[in-house]
Amino acid sequence: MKFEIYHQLGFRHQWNLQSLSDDATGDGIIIGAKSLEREKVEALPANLRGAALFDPQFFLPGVAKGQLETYNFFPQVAANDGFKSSDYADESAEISATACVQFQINSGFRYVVIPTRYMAGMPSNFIETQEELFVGPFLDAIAPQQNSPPALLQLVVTENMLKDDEYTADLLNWITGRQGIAGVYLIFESSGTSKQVKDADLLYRVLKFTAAVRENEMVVVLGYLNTESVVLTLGDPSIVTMGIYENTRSFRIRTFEDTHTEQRGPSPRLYCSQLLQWVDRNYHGALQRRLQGQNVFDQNRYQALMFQPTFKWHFTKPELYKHHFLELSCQLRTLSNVEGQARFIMARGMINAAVERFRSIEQVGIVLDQDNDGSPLASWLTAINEFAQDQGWQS
Amino acid sequence: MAGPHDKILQDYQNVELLKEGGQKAAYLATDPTHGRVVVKIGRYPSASSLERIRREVDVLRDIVSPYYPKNIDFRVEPPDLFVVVEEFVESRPLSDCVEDFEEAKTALALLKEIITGLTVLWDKRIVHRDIKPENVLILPDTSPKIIDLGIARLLDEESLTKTINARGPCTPAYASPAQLKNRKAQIDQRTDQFSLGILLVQLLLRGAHPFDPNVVRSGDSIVANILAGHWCRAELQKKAVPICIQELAAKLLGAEPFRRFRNAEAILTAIAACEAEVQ
Amino acid sequence: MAELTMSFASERELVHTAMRHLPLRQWLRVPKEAYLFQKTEVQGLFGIPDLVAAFAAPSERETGPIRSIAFEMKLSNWRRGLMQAFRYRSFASTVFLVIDDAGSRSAVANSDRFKRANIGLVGLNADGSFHVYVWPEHEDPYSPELQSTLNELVRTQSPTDFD
Repeated sequence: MKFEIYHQLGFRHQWNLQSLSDDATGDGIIIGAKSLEREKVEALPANLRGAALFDPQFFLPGVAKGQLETYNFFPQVAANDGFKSSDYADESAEISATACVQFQINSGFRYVVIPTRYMAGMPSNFIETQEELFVGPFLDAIAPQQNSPPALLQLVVTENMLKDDEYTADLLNWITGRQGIAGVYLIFESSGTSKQVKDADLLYRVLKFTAAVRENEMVVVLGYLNTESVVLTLGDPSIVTMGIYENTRSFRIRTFEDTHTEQRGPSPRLYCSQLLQWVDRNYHGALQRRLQGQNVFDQNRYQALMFQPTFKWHFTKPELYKHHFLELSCQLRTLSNVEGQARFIMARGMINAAVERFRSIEQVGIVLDQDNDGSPLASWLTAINEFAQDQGWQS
Repeated sequence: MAGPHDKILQDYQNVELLKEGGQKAAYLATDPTHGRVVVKIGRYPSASSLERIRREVDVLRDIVSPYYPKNIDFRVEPPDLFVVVEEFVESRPLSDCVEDFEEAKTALALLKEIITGLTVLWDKRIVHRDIKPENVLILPDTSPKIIDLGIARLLDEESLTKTINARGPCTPAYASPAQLKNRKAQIDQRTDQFSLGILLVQLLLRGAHPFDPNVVRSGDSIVANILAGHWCRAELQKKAVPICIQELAAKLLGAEPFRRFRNAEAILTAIAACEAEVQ
Repeated sequence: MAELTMSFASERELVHTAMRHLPLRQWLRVPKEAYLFQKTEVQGLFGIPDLVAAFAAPSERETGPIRSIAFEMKLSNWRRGLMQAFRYRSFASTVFLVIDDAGSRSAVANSDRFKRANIGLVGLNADGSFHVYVWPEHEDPYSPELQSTLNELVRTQSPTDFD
């Protein structure tokens, strides 16, 4: 099935919106409550809201970080004396859920997102807690609404959860058996520290999870994706995402913690579609000089601007990200136009071609570090080959 | 049985014993108001078993559907007898006529009807938990009635049994893996789907059980094969059962609930697709 | 396999010895009395080079080219050292990886990689003797921006003696 591309909004959300309107790089947006205050959300054009998901981001319900405090239904704000899980179910869950559902319906969003809290590790009371605090009250609030759009259950799954077969089966049985929801807004958390996901087993399990939910004819939205979205399209998701800064391209709970402050700005990087990799600006000179005649950089209007001598490279420049959206969305759309085995063959071809490019880069003596060297690609191939075998796709 | 039953049966005419066993007996009789009825009399050994019977009656009383026998009366006769009176349905249990549904078209048609009947329960968040040929009555017009909701699970109510048993209430040969492992959290309408999958294969194979070691040619027992997920798809292939029906059976027999169908509508859509292919 | 006896107990010791014994003035063609910029663990570039030495003739100090050598020092992990050293090609005209000569065999066996990357390879001993296994060629740095940053650093900062 064709999938859609949504922008995962965070800081500098205007660049996402400009990219959408100027370059048609997506089909909609996911609005994060922490990054965009309520008034601004309500002021978005109606047609944009109609193609949007609103993520209430109740991950840490007791921490009203950033713009979360502008939403009266955020648990820490809604509960008298702040959020306490022992009291919340009895006193505030229903009020918060009703207000949040009403906000989403009145705003005309494409789906109503049922938020859940983040829970680390593999807690034995995961389903019970989510049902009591959020899922039950939200579905109760949705039920009497005449004009509610379909509901998506948001789920943050940790690496531990995904790597335990029994735990994963319990989650899948719960999600697919829960009536009243049309699908899942799935966010997976990787424990890895590298900029791109290198864990083949993790990617394989996300593929399996996605496919299992999709086999139940439910919607799957995969949030907080980086370029591994190319791999994850094989699970047949309904929507994949792309974002600007790394905190919208990878989910880390610490960004929602009170004590966390964003580190000093990263060095500017440019996405190279041939490499399926963002490449640090500081390597560009070597790539240009040593790969004479073999241009590894994508040619588009942003690239032409950025490679002018007068351009001041900095991670706060919108061109870097608009370039990324233009190129990645093109790759994703190509994948979306085919299905099943054909999509696997295409993705594998893209990854193999990137591996070859990195080989030629190495052969001319360029030594890239592990955040630039294409090292995730081998894991990506492992993950998709294993998944393809499960699916019975012939190579 | 003489004695205590006589006192209860004196209100009826033309009383005939239908079957008896253990602590129960069923009689065919004529009720002055309701005509031909089935009178079930039994001893309840415990409060929980009485509650189970009461639950079945409560469920049936709420249902107005041609797929279930109408409940007429339920009462307790001290010191330890219960009485259930139901409409009499001229029928045979499916277990006695399974060969009549061997053809793909008739098997699908029957399955569709049973699912339509079960939807009445599923919509009320009730799981039957004991679907098997003995609990499906076939009327002369080949339409089914579903009986014996004694171990139906109401998903919103407390369980009757607090004990930790290796197995939950079920007939093991028709139980899903979750029932066999007593995983209560996994019991929902998809539990009944698993039993339906067994039933479908039995229809197509003239009663042969898909997990029977003699049919699968492996495993020590039906229960062992259910737990291992070993069933006799090869036999369906040998019989040239259409692929869509094989896949329908495979999905109903998915080891985990998430591998089966999400709801009745999805199964009925799959059946309709099979019916179109089989035409 | 016989255990190698390394000459240095730590990288810090390696850096000490390199600063004392490598002929930086000679390699940078710095006149005898001329000022030689040397700084350890330089921040604000690409990676953190263990040592940067640079020279600009007084007449060229404000605007002219600055010759620079950047060093990465490693006791034995030459692969990681090569990767880190290559970063310094973005701002320095010459780059060396200096490793404990006692553990240099594997690196030397992979000299081709150093040549392809145009990174020099030096094996250093505790007594200050050293062997240059790969001589890099002078090459303009890859990043004009970082080259400017280094040049600015050289122009505005006094040399820091190694402590």
